[in-house]
Amino acid sequence: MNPPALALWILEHFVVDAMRDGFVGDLVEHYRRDVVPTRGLIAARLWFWRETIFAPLAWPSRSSTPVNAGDGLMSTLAADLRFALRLFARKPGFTALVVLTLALGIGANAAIFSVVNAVLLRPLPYRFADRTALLWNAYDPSGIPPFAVAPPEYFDLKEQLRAYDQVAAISKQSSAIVGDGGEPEQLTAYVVTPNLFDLLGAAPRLGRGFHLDDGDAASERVILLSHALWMRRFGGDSNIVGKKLNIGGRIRTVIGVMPAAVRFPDHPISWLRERADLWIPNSLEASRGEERGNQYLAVLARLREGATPAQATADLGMMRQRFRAAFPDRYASVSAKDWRITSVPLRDQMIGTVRPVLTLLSAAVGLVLMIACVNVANLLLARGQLRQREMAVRLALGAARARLLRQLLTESAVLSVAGGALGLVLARVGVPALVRLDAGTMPMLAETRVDGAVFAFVALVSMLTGIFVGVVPALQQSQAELRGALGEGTHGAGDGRARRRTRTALVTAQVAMALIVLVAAGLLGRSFAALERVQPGFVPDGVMTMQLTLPRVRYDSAYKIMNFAQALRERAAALPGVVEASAVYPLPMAGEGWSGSFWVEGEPSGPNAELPHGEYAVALPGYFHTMRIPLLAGRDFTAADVRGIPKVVIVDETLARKHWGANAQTAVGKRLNPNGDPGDWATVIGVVGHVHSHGPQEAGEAQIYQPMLQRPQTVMAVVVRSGSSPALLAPALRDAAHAVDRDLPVNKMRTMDDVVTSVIARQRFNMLMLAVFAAAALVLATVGLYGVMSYLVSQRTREIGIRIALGGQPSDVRTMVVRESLLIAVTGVVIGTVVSVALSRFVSGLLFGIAATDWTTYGSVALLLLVVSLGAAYGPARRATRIDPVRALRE
Amino acid sequence: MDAYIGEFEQLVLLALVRLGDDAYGLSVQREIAARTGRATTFGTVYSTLARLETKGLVESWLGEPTAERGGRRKKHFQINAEGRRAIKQSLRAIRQMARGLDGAVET
Repeated sequence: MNPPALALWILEHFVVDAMRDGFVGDLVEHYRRDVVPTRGLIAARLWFWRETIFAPLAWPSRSSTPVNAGDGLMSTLAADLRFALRLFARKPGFTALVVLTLALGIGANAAIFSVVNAVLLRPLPYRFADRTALLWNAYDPSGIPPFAVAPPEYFDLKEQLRAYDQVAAISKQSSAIVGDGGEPEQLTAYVVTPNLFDLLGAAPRLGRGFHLDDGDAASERVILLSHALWMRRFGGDSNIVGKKLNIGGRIRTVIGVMPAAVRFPDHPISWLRERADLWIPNSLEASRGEERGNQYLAVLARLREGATPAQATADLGMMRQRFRAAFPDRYASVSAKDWRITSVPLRDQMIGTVRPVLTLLSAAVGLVLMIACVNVANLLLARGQLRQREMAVRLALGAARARLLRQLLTESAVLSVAGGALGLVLARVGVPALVRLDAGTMPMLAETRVDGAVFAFVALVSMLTGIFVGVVPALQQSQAELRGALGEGTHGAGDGRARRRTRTALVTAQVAMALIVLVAAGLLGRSFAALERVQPGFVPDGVMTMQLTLPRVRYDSAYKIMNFAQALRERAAALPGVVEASAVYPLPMAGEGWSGSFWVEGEPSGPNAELPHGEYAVALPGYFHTMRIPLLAGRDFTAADVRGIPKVVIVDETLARKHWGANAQTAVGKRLNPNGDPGDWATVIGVVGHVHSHGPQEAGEAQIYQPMLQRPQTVMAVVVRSGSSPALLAPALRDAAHAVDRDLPVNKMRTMDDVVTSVIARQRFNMLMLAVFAAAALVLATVGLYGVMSYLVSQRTREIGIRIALGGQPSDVRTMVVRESLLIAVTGVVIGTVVSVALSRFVSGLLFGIAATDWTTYGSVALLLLVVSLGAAYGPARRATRIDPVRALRE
Repeated sequence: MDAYIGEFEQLVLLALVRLGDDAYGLSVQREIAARTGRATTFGTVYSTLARLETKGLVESWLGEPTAERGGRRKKHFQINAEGRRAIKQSLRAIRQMARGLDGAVET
C-alpha cells in the first residue's frame, strides 16, 4: 500500500518547504484512498511516479506575470528546462535512446559504488580503528602468510611493548547453545581477552562491557551477545541481561548486548572468518605457561596516542632481539632466520584483499560509462547538425553565445538527470541481484544498500555526465557558421570537417576503452577457466557433508568421542540412498586448516634442523574411498586402528615422493613423528593422492592423515556419498546425528559441490561482473562505430555520388568506407593495448595460471574488435554503394 | 493592483468557493475533475494554489498530521476577500464579453 519509496524520497527532498507536507501528503492520501483501490497496485505505482516526475515541470509559472514578479520561480533556467523538455517530447525515440544509454552506464556505476561504499568507505564501528593493528609471527621476509601468536608470546607483547598502550587477543571457539528451550544451534563464539572492546573503542548498547577480572578462572562465567543473536534468538528481550545460558555445556550469564554494527571480527581476519554471535572473556592467565609453538591467537594492539609508526617499528624490532636472545631454538633457528613480529593495520587486514577487486570493477564500470557518454555525445553532435539553422537564426537575431551554450548544456543536463534517475532505479533492482551473486565471500556485501551516499554519487555522476556529453556538441553548435547554415545546402564545409574529426576521435577513444574492459574480462575469464580445470584431488559430485562440534563438557574423554564417531558413521552408512559414509577433520576447502612441523625418521631433527612442514587431518576408515581420493599404495585405516596400538598414518604422494622417492610403495612401512613428542613415532601404512585442501588456487603442502580413532577430535565433518542427489540426504543425515545425540547442534550441511564452488565464488563473482561490463562495452562501442560510419557516409554523399558518376566502382566505395572503419578500430586497438599493458600489473594479483600480459587474450580481443568494426561498417558501406549519383548531386 | 487571473486560476478559485472549509489540494483537484472532466496533475494544482497565494488571493494554514497521509500535515486553502473580488471581476468580464453571442459560442 505504500507509495514507491524512492519517488517519495525524491519528493521529500525536492519540494519546497512551504508546500512539502501539503503536497506530498495529498499525493499519499489520494494514492492510498483512491488510486490503489481503483487502479490496482502496479498502475497506482506508475501513477505515483508520473505525479513525481511531473511535479517539478508544473511548478514554474505559466502565467504571463512579468519575470521576477509573482512567485519568483520563473527564471531562465525554468525557461530552458521547459524548452528542453518540449524538444525531447517531440523526439521520443532519440530521447529514449539517450536516456537508456545513460541509465545503463550510470546504473552500473551506482551498483558498483553501493558495494564500494558498503565494503570500503563505510567506517569500521570502532573509535580507535585507525590506531589498531594486528600483530603476527612472520617467518618469511614478505611476512606472508602471517602466523598466529601463542599465549606466552601474547603476554610478552602485552607487558613489554611501549608504543602500544593496549594489547588484546582473540581466538575462535565453536560453541553450542542448548538448554534455553529452542532448537540447538551452532553459534560463532570468540574467546577474547576482556580488554578487547576497550582497545577497539566500542561500548555495549545494553548492560555492561567486560571488566578486567571477568576472564579470570575464579570469576563468574559471563558473555556478551551480539545484537544479531539477541534479536534472532531472544527476540530483542529487554530482560536478557542477567539471564543464564548454556553455552557449549557451561552455564554463562549474559552481561550485555553489543550495538548492531559490532560483530568483531566484522570482516575476516585470516582464519577468523565469521562474524561473532557472542564473546566469551578469558584473561589467558591459565595459558601463560603453554608451549610457544601452540600458536592460535590473533593479537590486536592499539598504538599509544601520539606514538609514531617509527616508534612502533622500533618497538617490534626490540621484541625481535629479546625473543631471539631468550629462545634461540625457536626464534633464531635455521627455519626461523627471518622470524619477526609484523604489524598490519586493522583496516588493511580486514578489507585489504577485496580492495584490488573493487578497484578493478570500479575502473571497468567507469570505462563503460565513458563509452556510453561518447555514444550520447555523438548522438547530440548528430542532432546538433539538424539544429544548425535554429542556432544560426538565434545568433543572427542577437542571442549571446553564452546564452545558447547555457541552453544546450541545460538540455544535456536534463538528459543526464533523467538517465541518472532511471539508473538509480536500475541500481535498486540490480544491487540485490549482485548481493545474491556473491555467495557471502565479500565482507559486508550483504549490507549493501542504495542509500543517501549512493544517491549523492548518482547525482554527482549525472551532473558530470551531463557536462561531459554536452560540452563538445554545445561548443560546436553555439559557434555555428551563420553564412553556412543559413545559406542552404553546403554540406561538407569547414565546419563539417571539424565535426567529423571530433566524432572520429571520440569513437577511437571508445574502441580503446572497450578493449581495456574486454581484456580485463578476458584475463579474468581465462584465469577462472584455469581454476576450474584444476583437479582438486577428490570427486565432489554426489557427496553431502555435515560439520559438527561436540561440546567438550559432555565429550570429555577420547572414548566418548570415538563411540560417537563410530555410531554416527554406522547410522549414516545405513541410510537409504547412502553408498558409503565416513568423517574427516578438517573438511577440504571448507576454510579450516591445520598444519605443523613433523620429523621423518632418519632425517636430522635437532634444534638447528629445518623441519618439514605439512598439512594435517584426521579421518575415519573409508574416508578416502568416499571422497574418491586414490589410494596409491598400502592400505586405508580400519576400525582396528584405535588407541592403544602402535600409531599409524597415511601420507599423500607429495610427502612420499619428497622423502622416500617416486615409488609410493617404498613409503609404506617408513616412520615419522607427526606431533613432535619425543619417541611418538607413527608408521606409514598407506599413500594417497594429493588434495587441494585450500582451494584450487593453492597447491598446498605435503599431507599427513591420522586415524580419528587414534586421535579423537571434537570437531569433524561427516561425509556421505549418495547414489543420487546428495542434497536430498540432508534431513536424514541430520536425524541420524540427532538419533546419536539429541542435543547436538547441526547447521552446517552442504554438498561437497557447494563447498568447492564457494572457494572460487569470489573469482566467479569478479569474472561474471567483468563479463557483463565487457558485453556492455562491446555493444556500446559497436553502436558508436556504426553511428559514426553512417554519419561519415551521409556526410560524403555528394563526394561518393561524384565518384560513382565518374565511373568509380561500387567495390572501391565499399573499400573506402571499410578502410576508414578499420583505421578507427586499429588506432583504438593500438591505444587500448598500450594502456592495458601499462595497467596490467594492477590485475596480475587477481589472476591464476595466466600472465597479465597474456597475448592470447590481447590478440583475441583485438581480433574481436576488428571483426566488429568490419560488421559495423558493412551496413553504411552497402548504403554508400547504392547512392544515386543524380540525386546526390542535386541535393 | 488588480491581479489578472488565468483560466486555470479561475477554476481553482471557484473550486475554493465551492469547497469552503474543506479545501485542500486533493479536494480542489477532485472538484475540478468532477465538474469539468479535466484531469490535472497534483503539481499543476499545487503550483497554481501557490501562485494564487503569492498574489494574495488565497490564504493557507497547516492542519494536524494524519496516519493516512504518512504523518504529514494537511495544507488547507481558503479564498479571501481579495480573491472573491478577483474572481467576480474575472467572471463579469467573461459574461460581458459573451453577452449577445448566445448562438455563436454557447451550446
